Amino acid sequence: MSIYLWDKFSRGLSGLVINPKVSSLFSPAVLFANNEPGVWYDPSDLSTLFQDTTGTTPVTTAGQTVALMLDKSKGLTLGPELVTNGAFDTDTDGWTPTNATLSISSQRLRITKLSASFSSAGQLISGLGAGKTYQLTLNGYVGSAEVRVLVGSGINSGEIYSPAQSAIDISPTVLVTGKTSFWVTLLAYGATGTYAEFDNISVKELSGLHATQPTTAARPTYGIVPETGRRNLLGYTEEFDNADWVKFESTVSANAIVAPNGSLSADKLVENTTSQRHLVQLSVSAPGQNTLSVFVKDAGDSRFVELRPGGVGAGVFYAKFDPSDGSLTDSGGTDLVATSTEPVGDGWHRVSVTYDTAVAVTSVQVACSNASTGEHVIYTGNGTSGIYIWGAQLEEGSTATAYQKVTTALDVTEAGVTSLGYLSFDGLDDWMVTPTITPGIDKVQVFAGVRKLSDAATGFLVETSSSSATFDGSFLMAAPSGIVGSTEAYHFGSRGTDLRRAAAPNGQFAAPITNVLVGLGDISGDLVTLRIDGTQVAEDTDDLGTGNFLAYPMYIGSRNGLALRFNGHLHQLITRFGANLEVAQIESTEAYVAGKTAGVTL
Amino acid sequence: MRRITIACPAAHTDDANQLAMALGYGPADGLTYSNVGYQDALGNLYACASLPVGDSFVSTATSPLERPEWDTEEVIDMTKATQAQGLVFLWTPNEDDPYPPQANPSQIVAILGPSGLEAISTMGLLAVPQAEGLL
Repeated sequence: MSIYLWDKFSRGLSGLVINPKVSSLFSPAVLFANNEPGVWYDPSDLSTLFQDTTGTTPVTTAGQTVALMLDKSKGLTLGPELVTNGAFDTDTDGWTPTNATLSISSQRLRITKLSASFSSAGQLISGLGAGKTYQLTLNGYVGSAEVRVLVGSGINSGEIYSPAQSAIDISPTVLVTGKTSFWVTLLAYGATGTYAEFDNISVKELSGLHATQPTTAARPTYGIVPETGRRNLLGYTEEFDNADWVKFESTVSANAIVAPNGSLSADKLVENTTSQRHLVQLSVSAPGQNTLSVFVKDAGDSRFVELRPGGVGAGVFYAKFDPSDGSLTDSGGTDLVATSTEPVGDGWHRVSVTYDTAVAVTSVQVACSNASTGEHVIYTGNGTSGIYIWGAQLEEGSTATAYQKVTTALDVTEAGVTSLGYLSFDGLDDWMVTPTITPGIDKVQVFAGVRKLSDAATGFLVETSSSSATFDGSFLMAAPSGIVGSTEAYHFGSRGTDLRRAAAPNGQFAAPITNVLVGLGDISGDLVTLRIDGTQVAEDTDDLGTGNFLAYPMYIGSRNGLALRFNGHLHQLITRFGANLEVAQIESTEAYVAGKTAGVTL
Repeated sequence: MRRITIACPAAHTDDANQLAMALGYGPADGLTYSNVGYQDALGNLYACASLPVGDSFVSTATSPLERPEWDTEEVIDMTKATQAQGLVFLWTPNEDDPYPPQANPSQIVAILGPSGLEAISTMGLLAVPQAEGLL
């Protein structure tokens, strides 16, 4: 593949062909070098994700919901200062007092309360763009009164941002979207005669069209996965004490010793005193050929570890190991394929069993046994003996590959492998929306890194307008789509005054699957194209009608926030309204998106 | 964090949205049950929501409601929110009752644990077929 660098100075193709291995030099920002309308969302960049719509609480870990996702297409640059006299060098001009005396103290604004009620200084910020986002920053200093900041439609109101009063100095960053004007109100909070101080009040436009979801339950969730994709089918792989691991006549002592990775995270599986089998079991659907592995270490109790399926009776497959030296002591079953053991240091061994079965395996077990041979042996435990275990893994294939830690499905990591971020849409009520995008052109290019989890119901990945079935000058990308009488794996549609679509038939890209999708729409050129993983899979050359793409919000994860929910992961999303791209530019962008999408190789 | 999935009968969405605001973070949570997009076998309609919640959520949601600090303008109808709270039936898999509750018009059923779509299926709900064609 040829990769072209975009020369940001001449704003044209430089023609320089570089090795794909250094494609990290390419940035989608070059697609917007001429200020083309559009968006670029990058969930792998945590600095762009927030848990609230005002951008005050960043997303920091997997499992948190995302209320605000910043658009990187315009570089997240800040515009000119919009506050009058925010530095308070000499006076308090520009600030309106309420029940307060305003003065300057050490080049700060001092608000001295004249009343026990709201005592403040406010300033109206006006002449704003409704679809634009503005960043407020300031310093608030506690004096004899506490500090509080309100942002709202009136002075002393705070329907947008109203934190509790603070007894400590503050320096918040607040993003305000969807307002043509707003008041910034600085409050001193305390008794009459007390004061608080403020300085460096700043409001600037933050470039970009940022996606939001104000409703808590409708927010997508942030997840991480190794760039090579998830292989480990289990969950809570280092937390056998978690309730998902069902304990049978056993207990788990969490974080009992140092694990093979050096962390204090290995557990001890301890038998109880009942005459029974003693094990932990995790539900998982895993028929076919799979390999189950776990790290084990001798606890000095003369116990053995046994790996086997649950819920399918005896005789399918099992393997028993001596944790003191990792040796296989017994194995069997009609569907057993192989076993393995590998020392990993500090007395730990990674043991595994590979099976190939048509039996509906619905769970896997890690058992403690007092016998070196025999499957699923019943014995009376002593209540203290057991084995150390850590790092369970079940994966497709005949080999135990590098261990992946899985906490929840949203939190999968692998040592030495880059983690990629994504937004998880639950297929039920999650979605986001952008401010209105004004294209002013009849051409669109959409790039998306996607993991589609289900083909059971139509899911709209992105769509402009409340329905491209109705509104001219719109587009949609579906994953999958359900045209009456058929189902399509993916679908990209563009509409001038007539909607045309390019679709990949189902079966070719059946869920669960991860792909890089590209949709190209050209109204006057009468062309709609769908590319998947670097290859064109469909096009429609029928008449799209006339006109440009029109100004609409873009919905992410649903139609109009009301229906056709996407069930899957969004790793990357670029929408550009601009002149048609050269093939090399498309390929470079595809390569970039693939690099941000776990498990995709072009 | 655990996932909670809630099926609210169409007749109770107004009250349930008041409850969502009382437990939530702003007026936008009053749109939680805005799409009556699921139905049971008898054709009764439901609005569903699913979200991850912290360990303290269940105790907060089942305790006497207090007006949240953000609601300085008293947007929330706390009477309706309390009425909705009284209709909530919360079920967790693996607890003593092995049978998951089915969605029904007289309760707001909530399931803690499985993914949203799994929970909806467990409750016996299906998406209402879309009348509008994609084309």
